[in-house]
Amino acid sequence: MKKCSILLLVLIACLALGCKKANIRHELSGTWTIEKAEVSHYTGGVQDSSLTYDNPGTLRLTDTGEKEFNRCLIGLNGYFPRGLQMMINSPEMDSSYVHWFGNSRDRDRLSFWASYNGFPLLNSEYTRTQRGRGPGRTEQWMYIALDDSQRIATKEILTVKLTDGSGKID
Amino acid sequence: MDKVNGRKDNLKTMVKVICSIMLVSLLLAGSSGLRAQEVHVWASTGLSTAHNRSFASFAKNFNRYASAEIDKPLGGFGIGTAYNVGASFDFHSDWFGVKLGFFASNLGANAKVGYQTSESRVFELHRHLAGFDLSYGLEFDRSAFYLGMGVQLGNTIIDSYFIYPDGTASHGRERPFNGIYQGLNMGRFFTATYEQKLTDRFSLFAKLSYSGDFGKKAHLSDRNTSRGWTDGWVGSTMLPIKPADYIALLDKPFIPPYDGPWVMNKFSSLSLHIGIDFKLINDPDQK
Repeated sequence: MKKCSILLLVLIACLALGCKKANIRHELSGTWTIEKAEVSHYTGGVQDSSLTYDNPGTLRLTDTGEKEFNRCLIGLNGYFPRGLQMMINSPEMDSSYVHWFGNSRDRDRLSFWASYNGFPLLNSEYTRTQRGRGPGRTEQWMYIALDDSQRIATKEILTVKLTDGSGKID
Repeated sequence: MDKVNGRKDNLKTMVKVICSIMLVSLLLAGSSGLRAQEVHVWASTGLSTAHNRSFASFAKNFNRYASAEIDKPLGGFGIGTAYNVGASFDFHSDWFGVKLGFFASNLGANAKVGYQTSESRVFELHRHLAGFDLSYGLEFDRSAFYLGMGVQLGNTIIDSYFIYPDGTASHGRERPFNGIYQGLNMGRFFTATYEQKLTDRFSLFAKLSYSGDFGKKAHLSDRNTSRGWTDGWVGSTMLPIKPADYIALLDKPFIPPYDGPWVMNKFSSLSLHIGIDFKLINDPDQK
């Protein structure tokens, strides 16, 4: 009996290891303060200028238990993150239409999307070039846009700090 | 729909047959004088191939399509590394043994294409599998040789990302093939294991195994692409043409109208592992 119990526990452990799927939503939800936004511009694939914006605002990734329909509440001080610009800086759209989701199998990617009646779905993805652990951690999220010849045109790196990890809507 | 149900039925039947063989084997082992006395845990690491016929076809056409821009052509996944942990319930006679084992394994391998512009694209393969197997073997004084078979299930992920000349790796959607392509899979495997006892409780083993996935139409798909979330970008610099058309151009065996992802979730692997086995619970008769 004892052997069977041990074997059962080992089997469960094996299955847990083999099918491990961490909760990326829990990991990412919360209020992220953008401490710095560095935007580099390229010409012909070569960097020619760079601008830095300090404390441009916050991104609040809410967690309502949905996989992909969690809203991203944006509070910005005149600066629009390049990946979200199309979604929030237009007459038809505003930040209330922006949502976010992560992928447990690709922890390096953070996706945002927005849709409004009659307008195409907009989607952008940030690469988490630097990830952290625990509350108060700092991460770096990168967005890249290409030029007409498929060369890098803009690279934006957001240095963000998780200032409130609750992610719940008040 | 009938075909899908048919495939599910075939799969269920196959699993039932394999499980039945294992249970009958255990009953036979139990009734044939073998002692069911030991529980072992083990860990191993090794090298493994990860062959995927449809990915090889994709790579061939990818290289042909982008031949003017490529510096180092895209190959297969080559030889990757794998890590395994598991446990087994061992039955022994003086010279014969049966092992019923459970395991979890992780396999990682890369395929890479280099461009003349010092850029590159990486297809990073991860397979997370768990399963069970049954082995029969001959046992000698301080060594043993087992042959076995089993079933495994888990998920496969191909993470495709682009590396810019400054070394920046981007997982974003600015390029068509960036994405994470994943799918569930189930397969069977065959093993040959040689064990050498080090002490009463510890042994070293080398295991050669061949595995192959069931099914012929399992897809690896990217969630965003499959939902058409990139359609708004078709015609832009982000996505010059539809992913489906892009793929249809690359992969001749798939002709328009293209209605599926570009790589099937069907791998076969040949692997060689070296590991250590620890006898967790001893045979009471040997106390």
